[in-house]
Amino acid sequence: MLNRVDNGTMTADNPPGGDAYRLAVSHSARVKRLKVLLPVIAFVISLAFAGVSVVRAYLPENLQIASAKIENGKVVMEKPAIAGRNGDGISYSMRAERALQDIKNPNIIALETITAAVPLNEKTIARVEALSGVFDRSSDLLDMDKPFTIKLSTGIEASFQSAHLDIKGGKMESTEPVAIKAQEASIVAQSLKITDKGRIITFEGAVRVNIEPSAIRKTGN
Amino acid sequence: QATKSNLNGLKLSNDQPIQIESDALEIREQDKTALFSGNVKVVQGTTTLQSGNMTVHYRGEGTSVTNGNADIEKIDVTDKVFLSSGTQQATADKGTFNLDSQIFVLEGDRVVLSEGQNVFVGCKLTVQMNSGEAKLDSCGGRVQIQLDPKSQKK
Repeated sequence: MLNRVDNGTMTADNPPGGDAYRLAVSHSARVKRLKVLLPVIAFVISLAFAGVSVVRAYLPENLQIASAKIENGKVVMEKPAIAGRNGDGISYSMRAERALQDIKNPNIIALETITAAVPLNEKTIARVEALSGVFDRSSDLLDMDKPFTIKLSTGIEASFQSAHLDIKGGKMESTEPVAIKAQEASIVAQSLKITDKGRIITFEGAVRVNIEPSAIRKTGN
Repeated sequence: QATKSNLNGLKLSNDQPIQIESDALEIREQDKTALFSGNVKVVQGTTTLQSGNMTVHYRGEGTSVTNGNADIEKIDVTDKVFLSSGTQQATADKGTFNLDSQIFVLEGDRVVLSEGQNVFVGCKLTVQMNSGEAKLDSCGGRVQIQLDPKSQKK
């Protein structure tokens, strides 16, 4: 009917009333439907938008995830990956198989099968591989409660029972026995603290250091 | 006035591993030092060194320890040093191993060098690590030597 009006002609063969009437009825029906549909659609869109922003708010900005679903009060993320830059602008990254985040306390994320690259300082990156850990998003602290290993980019390998990692600060502390293996030396101790971005390493408790003869030969005569 | 003797056990053999034990170890990359503190005991073959603290000064650019190619330059031992090697023993207040010059020096009010029953007391013991040749100085005072008669008959 609208078109009809546009071309401004009322053809004779179209009896006024009958056709127009039917069109009017369908139009008003459409309007009636839209009257209900439109708000519903608007509502759904806003709901979706809110949902996304809520999920977004829970997840750190620099987090990529393969997929996320909500299971019994926890956001379960598959293959989460976090990356960022620490104070010195050196990039750090962390990936896990799965991450579980409690809706009530979104900052704490439990991680499974973690691999992290933690910059200790400009020259040394520590690669962490662990079964599980709890990551506090607000302070970038990684709490490893199960045994794990750290391989320094310099060829040194350290194995731990547990530890607290300050990823951004480049600090680490373990209050349980540690074993460090380098090409020509090995160190075993009851506890370890790495501070000042890896520049100070402190072992405490029954420290045993073993230096291979090849290390001395280099310095020998 | 110094007495000479040979601490042949003292040679730093570079074909045997060194074990170091201590209560704590602090590696400071900035100052290139590794400080062993508390009941420090260093063992290599038949040579044993014990002291309260031991500071290893190493060379190596950048993060030498964390990349494992630390080159030991000097080792300072302080807080009651006891050194034993084969039949010879020495005690002093402090000591320094200079890896470059291969000389190590023990110093203190009473540096006691003993071999079997023979006891030499002075204030400074200097040992050439590669030859084991040891020189005990009395720094002015008299070197007290107590020789065991039995050892004379040998």
